[in-house]
Amino acid sequence: MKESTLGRVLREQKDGGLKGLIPYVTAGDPDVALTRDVLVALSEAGATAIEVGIPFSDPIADGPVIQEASQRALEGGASLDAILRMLEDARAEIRCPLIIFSYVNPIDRMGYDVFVERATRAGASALLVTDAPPGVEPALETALRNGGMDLIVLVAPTTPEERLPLIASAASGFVYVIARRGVTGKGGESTDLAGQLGRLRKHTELPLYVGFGVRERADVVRLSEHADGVIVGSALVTALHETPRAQRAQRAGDFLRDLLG
Amino acid sequence: MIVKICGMTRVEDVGPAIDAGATHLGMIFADASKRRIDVEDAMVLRRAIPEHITPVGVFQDVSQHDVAYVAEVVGIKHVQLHGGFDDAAIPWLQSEGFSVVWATPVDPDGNWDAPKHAPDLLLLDTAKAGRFGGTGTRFDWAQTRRPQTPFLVAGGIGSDNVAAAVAALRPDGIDLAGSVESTPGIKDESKLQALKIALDSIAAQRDQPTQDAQMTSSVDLSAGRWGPYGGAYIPETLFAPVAELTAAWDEARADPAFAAEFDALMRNYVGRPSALTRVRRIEEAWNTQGPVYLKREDLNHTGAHKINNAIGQALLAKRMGKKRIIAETGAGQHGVATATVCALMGYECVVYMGGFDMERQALNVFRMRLLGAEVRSVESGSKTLKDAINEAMRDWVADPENTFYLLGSALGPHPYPLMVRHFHEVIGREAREQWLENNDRLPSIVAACVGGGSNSIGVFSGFMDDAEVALYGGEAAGDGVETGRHAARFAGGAPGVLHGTRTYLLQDGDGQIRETHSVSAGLDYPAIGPEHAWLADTGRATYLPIDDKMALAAFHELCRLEGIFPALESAHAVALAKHLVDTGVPHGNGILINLSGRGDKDVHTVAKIEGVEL
Repeated sequence: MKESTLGRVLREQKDGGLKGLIPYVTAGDPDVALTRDVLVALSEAGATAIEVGIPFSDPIADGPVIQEASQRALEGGASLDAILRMLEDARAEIRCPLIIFSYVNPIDRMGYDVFVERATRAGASALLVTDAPPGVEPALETALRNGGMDLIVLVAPTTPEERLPLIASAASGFVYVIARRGVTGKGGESTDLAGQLGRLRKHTELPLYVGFGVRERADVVRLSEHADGVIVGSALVTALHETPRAQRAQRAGDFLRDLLG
Repeated sequence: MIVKICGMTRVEDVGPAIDAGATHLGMIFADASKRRIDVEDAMVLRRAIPEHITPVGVFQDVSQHDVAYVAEVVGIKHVQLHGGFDDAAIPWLQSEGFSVVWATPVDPDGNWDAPKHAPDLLLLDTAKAGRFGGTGTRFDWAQTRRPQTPFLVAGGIGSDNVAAAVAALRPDGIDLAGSVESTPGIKDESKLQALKIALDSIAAQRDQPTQDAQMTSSVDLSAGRWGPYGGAYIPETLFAPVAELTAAWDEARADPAFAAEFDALMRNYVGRPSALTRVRRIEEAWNTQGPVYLKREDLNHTGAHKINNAIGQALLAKRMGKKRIIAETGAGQHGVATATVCALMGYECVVYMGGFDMERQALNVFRMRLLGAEVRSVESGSKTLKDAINEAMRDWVADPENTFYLLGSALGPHPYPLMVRHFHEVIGREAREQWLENNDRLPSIVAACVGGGSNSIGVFSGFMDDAEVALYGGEAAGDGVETGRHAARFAGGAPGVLHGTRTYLLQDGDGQIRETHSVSAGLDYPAIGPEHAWLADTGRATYLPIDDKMALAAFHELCRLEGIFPALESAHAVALAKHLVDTGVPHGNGILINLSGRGDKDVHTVAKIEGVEL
């Protein structure tokens, strides 16, 4: 497969000895128009890539912060369709690669091929599906491959060693390493992150990004010691929610610059 | 599916008939018909029929040349030969460029003759007292041999029984007239509307996912796949715990000691076998063709079938060395069953329950607490069963090593649907044996309510291979499917992925899960077990919506006539059976109703609905 925009950007960063930072936002919280401004601000602040979270009514893998953000987004009228339309519209202004972060059902409902076509047109170069790990939904993996989109896979602290080859073979772009157990947005991390990353490096040359529980610059520095980059989610979602609407785009940029140091 | 609305006589009926779902519109040229149209009127009507709808001319007792002539003049390419023709007319008319529908009479025993020459479509219609066509009465679908070539079913079909006809014969289409008319030849808009709702419901059941790659027709139970349904759609974090569970389950299932321990508890703790009760006063009140029996899961310890599965999974948890058990509950029956086994086996127990359900099932909440369980209120979403499952899954994700998730229905990721079914198969096994102790033949119908689908899959499993037994599931239609306030996944849903499995879901066009509504907390759930999705698609089982009113009426009827309080969930099964009797679904060999639970927990709900202060 031809290397995607995301793959190229992350590889160049890694080859240059640089660490990446990928922010996550729940799209449509509190409305899709504001998310557009937030994405542009994050891109301008130097995000390596951005995860665009598609709100889902039943986010079983998410903690309270993203659950509530998803709820607000759905109440604000967000949908996969509306978010893709917004991304397409904002494409020229967002300079970093975009990763769609979703549960299976909204994508299934749209149809995998239609999704890939529209997401690609909107400038998204990768998909991460929370509830369809590699091997579970071959039709989706095929559609992504045919459309040239990366499939971002997760590796959890509980992921058994013998599963790593399968995960590595399905992965493209980067590998998302969950630094702790539990749902999103809780603190703490597994004690043996270095070991976890080391085991994974035997199976893949893709950049390894660590997420779950990143709050401040110190977390970024600490995790970047072993990983190629860091993902920040719930802390950013919370920070935005606590900021008055008019200043949110600004806040998003500031938040990211603080983490980048 | 072809929907032919016949006996069209007026231009103004064309639009409403098409809106109701008609694909074919019939004009009857037979002299004997009450719906006869003359050629001039037919020419006018023909011009009012849009391009995408097929007009059909219906003929009786005339020559093939007359058929061709009239059809030519009116501008019709499809002709229906409805009696009084030699079947040599079929190839002749076909050679003249017509598409031929050949109507064949079905006698009271379900027999019919195939024509010697193949028509484009066969039409099975009721023959009655020397008349054929337009009798307004149905033939015995269950007794009738299904044609191997494309065919339509006619005779007494309307909105109330079209689903049953389709389920019984799986035809390529239906043909109807009288049921959508105010008087012969004059169509009635409200009756057409009712037909549309019934047809939409059938279409929803046939709605297939569009991903061709998923449309494997195979059943792979090692992966928990029934065609496109089932599977294990779980976060990566749960991959290892689910794999561990699957391995432990495969091992336990093969171990006779495990089965023996389960059977002993079923006998000595649950009180199995549960009784099979004949309900003669119900038979009389409904005027049934055969006996009606209840499988009395309400008599189990804790008052419902749920205890079977709770004991089975708790034994597995013990085998796996888990320390704490978590569960979700809707009506509270599964929560009570889980709290019960945790007390029995000395487990820490946490039950997640929607805040709304806690309110309406306060008695069960208190019972769980008395049993030593911690009941955690879930305040997200609709505050019902689905939100409780979300929360239980999050708990499991947080501490998978120590925690056993004791899922309460035949849903969720593989291996739950199969495992839960396994522990409930005892219902079907006992019921089949008990039925045959009392009857020479198996029942015509097995009826059960379907929330997630555990009691129904349990009882169905005993009869799955008995082709002569029709399996029916009753879904909660709440205030009515047309109101949108319901939990009828087949009647109002489409396939998708929720809570770890692919199945029918109530969802909106954006793939967001819709909130459900039912008077019964145990049926108030937007998904259905994946095996049921497969049974519906393959036609092995039929699922019909039963609304709150029907269920409440059945609740009262069973109380007054038989001295049995059914759970409101189980009252849906009773109402379903009554509905099948009322709509003429054949049941000469009797009906088995699975009475999944007792109604003590619902007395407050019923009192509240009726404005009674307790």
